[in-house]
Amino acid sequence: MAQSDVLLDRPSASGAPLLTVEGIDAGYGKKRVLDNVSLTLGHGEAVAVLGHNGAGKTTLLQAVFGLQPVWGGALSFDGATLMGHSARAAVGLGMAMIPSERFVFPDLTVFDNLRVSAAGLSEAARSAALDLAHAEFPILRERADQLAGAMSGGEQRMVSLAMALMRKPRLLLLDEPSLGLSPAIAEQVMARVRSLVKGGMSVILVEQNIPAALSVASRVYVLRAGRIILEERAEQLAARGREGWWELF
Amino acid sequence: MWLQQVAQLAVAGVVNGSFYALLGVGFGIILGVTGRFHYAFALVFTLAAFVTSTLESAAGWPAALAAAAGLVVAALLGVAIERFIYRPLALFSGPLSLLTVFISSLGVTIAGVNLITLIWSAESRTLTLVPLISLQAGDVTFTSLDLFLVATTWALIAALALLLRATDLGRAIRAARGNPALARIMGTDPGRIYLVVFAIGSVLCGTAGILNGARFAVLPDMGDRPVVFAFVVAFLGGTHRSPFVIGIAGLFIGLVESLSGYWVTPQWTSLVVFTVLFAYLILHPLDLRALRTLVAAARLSTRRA
Amino acid sequence: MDYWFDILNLVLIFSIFTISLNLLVGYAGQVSVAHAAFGAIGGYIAAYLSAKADCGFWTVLATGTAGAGIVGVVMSLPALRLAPEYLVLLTIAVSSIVLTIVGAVPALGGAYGMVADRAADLSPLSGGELLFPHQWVLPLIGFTVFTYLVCHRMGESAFGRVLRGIRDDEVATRALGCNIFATKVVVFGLTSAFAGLAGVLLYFYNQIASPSVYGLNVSLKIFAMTIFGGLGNFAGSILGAAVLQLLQPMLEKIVRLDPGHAFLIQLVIYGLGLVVLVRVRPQGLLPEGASLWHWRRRPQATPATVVETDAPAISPAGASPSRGAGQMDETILKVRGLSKSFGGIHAVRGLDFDLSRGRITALVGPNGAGKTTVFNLLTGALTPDAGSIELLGENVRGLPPDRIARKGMVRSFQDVRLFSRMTAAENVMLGIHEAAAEFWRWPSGTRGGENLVDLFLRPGEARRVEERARTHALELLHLVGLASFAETPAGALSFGQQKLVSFARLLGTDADVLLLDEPASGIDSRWVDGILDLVAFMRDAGKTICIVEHSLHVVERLADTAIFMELGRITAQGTIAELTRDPRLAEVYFGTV
Repeated sequence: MAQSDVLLDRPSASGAPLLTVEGIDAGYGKKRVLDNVSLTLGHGEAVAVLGHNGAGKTTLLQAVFGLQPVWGGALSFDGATLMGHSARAAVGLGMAMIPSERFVFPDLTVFDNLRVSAAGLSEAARSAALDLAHAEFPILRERADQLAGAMSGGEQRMVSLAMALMRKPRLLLLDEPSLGLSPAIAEQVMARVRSLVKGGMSVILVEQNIPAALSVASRVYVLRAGRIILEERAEQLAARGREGWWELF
Repeated sequence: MWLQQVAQLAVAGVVNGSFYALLGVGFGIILGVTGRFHYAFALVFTLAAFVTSTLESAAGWPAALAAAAGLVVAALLGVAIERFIYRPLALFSGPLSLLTVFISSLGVTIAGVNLITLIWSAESRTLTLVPLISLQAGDVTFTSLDLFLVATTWALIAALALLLRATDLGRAIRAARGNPALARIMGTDPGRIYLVVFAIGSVLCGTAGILNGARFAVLPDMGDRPVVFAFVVAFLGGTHRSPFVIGIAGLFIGLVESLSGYWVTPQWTSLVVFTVLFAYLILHPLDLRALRTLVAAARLSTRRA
Repeated sequence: MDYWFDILNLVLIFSIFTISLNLLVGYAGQVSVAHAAFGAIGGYIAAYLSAKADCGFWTVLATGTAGAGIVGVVMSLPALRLAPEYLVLLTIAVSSIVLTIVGAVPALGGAYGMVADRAADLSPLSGGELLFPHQWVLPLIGFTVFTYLVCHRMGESAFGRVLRGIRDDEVATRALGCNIFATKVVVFGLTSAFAGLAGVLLYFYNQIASPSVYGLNVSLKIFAMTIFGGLGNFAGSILGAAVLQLLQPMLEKIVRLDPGHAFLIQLVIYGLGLVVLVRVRPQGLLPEGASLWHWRRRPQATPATVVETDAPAISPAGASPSRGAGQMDETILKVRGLSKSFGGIHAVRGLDFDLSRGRITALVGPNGAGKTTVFNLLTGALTPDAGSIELLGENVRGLPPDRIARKGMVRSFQDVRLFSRMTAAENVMLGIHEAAAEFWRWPSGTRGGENLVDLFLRPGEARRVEERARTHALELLHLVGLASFAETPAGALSFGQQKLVSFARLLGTDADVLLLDEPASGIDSRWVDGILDLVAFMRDAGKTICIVEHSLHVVERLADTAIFMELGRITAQGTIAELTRDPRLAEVYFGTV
């Protein structure tokens, strides 16, 4: 796939990480979901967070993005400490997130979905963003008046990617992008993500589908019952083979 | 002759139905987007009428200006209630916020309506919007006010539909209504959207109150029955549907109420309406999408924006 | 002096309204703004019968109360499945319907209502007519005390525990085997009957029954009084009625306002009071469980979290034997051809599997394989499209969740779902039902406090059953190592402790089949061992267990066999070791490129 035009961040010359998560705990009510979780992400790096359902992967993304209050530990993005930030602040800092479900506005048209993502931008910035989206995903122009809810899963994922990219984020948080998709369509989505990464986008990818994650990420973390039990390079995890993977889950 | 009688009742049904449509659309947008069971809708309704009536008679303002002022007051009251009463309460009550917001809404209405009585006294007041002329089309008679009401109501409903469909604000509102979690992820501020929605709903509500005051009288308890009709129409139409759909539901209620007058005396017509509501509640399966969003909106509003 | 007696009398009559509404709203969690309308039914029946049929006071009272009760039962039927905001709407509709009818029927006096032509005559009691306020005081105190005693007995019994369960978590209550529909019908019927009683008294007291006496705003006023006094506290209901009824007289006497102004200002004050109260002290003047007379308090629901101890050790002594000691490995549950689709998508297709006594079977598979749907189908939360479910030889397909629970199949929830305002012991007790075979033990076919017949007519029996339940609950809490937390509100326990209490609760149901949804998730690792030991212990004690767990690590430690599901079908069964050796399953589970 051609290298994406969406461009981004100039990698930091000093090699300092873009995102640092240090020893965070988080949960809902009494239930602890994350236990002393740490993670780093460099500029232009793609990292995968793997684990079984309920291991805490989504909660981790939500904590980074400001949707989940953190009980302890620290977060920093591009050098600046994040404390009790809101999703709105996260967007302002240059993060974008695509949730695993309900990632489009189903009763709005494709065009309206894109317009909502561009809300708050100036007129010029908005049309630039829309042009960008249409350039990346020509299908959106054709389907502009279709209700997003009526599109197929794969098409909706493309819309959601377009929505996320419109504000030229520096960090993309993807929650199970291959969920519910057939292998062929999932591969298309992953290919898109790969080209974004090639273009310099920093990505944290949460996945249950290990091969798909390995095709995108250079480093992986494995989460089990709220704890990081493994961190290694993608090749190393691949080398374990499926027999080895059962051990981790 | 019966055709003439039915036609006359139908006209009355259209007029009343348009009034109910306005109520339902105003209440519905508030309930659909914010999940608040805004009983104080009745208070906004009443205050708008009182302000307009007073400015007209005591201060001699022209009708249009007085009405405009009434609507401004309505909007301000609605927004203030959301900002200072509902929002802090919802943040505090978490999962119980549906009940507590309803209770506080009740309290505000009781206090507010009686404050109005204290300030203005309970005597009936009048409100004139348009010079009252009797009109006729074929065998049916109606007034200029009736015409004005129907025209205003549907103009407002159309305006809201246009706003929702074609403006950025409208899109943001529909996004927040249909998928509040994603709206948050996109960075919109749900609190701001709620205030706007309350302003819009209150303007529609205030218009209904002023129209009601012009048709009948301006009294402190004038909001009691209309607020119930607002709920009925909003639930029947579906709080997630377009204003036109809710509007049609209102028209339907108005026509059912009016046409049943062909067979029963006027006291019984509201019974027909409530029986329709009762039947709907028994037969119609829960509107799951709206309910889910209500719960989601209530939950979202319990976290800091 | 009569002035003050008059106020006292009105406080007493309204207390009957508020106490009964409190049982409905505060204990059962059903929000109704139709209470005064039920009063209207009672009041108008009274008016009609005394005027047209020349009936005596007691006949009229009984008829009015019964009439209101019957209408309450009728209203409750559509209300059973309604969400709270729809229920409020329904009660508004009922109120409007009732008031429109009484206001429109000419025989009932239309908008002006019916005026009484004679005073209440309580003979054979007290002799003579009640003409003056001071004569009403004692009879009204009698009625109020009666209402209080009945409602208090219901609220503080096992029946009341079921009501509170319905209030806090209807789904969980049902899943434990409580017949919530029957309970709701009973509570609606009874509370409406009491409202009818108050309505009759109000008619005789005021000597008039008219739509405005019982209008929606009166219902709202009663609702406000109940909230004020404190939901879940009957003494508070009396207090709430008193405070609000006294506002106006106090404004007149002490602040020296004229009656017109006093009336309005009183309303402004209580409206504002309601707004402030619901924000500042939502539990009302008196919190649930507090008692003015005994100073005995039921533990409050939101204290700070209990210090988390190390995972308690389970104590095998006192284990509850499985119903009907049976052979280990005996097939307890047979599922054949189970299918369910949602709008064209097959969630579950043609499932065949067995669960046996003394074995732990795990359901594993990738996301969306249908594992949770299976649990929902087995417990009756969802109705299957096809297939059979045989529990101990009996077909349970299509039965509601509470029936299936009582037949011996229960489930735990991923998010635990304890009743946070009840103590650990009460939580466990809600799962314990002592069965009764006689059909007239209604509403739940149980014996003891849950059954109103026993509660009122055989208090000794009710007490004995309750004690047995309590002892059993404490034994179970001892088993899971939490005996010292028996009186702690469940909301104050840590998540791991809550999980243990929920297992104790499940054991209390004495069910044979336990479906555990992610038993080891969400807890700290040091607790996991304790939980796993407990589940293994339950298996060894003869329970039939099926778990859904996403952590294969846990499954490996716990499960005897595993069932692998893919897109709604079972594609493999065997031990975990066998399944993980299969390359194709690995591909399905981890995904293909």
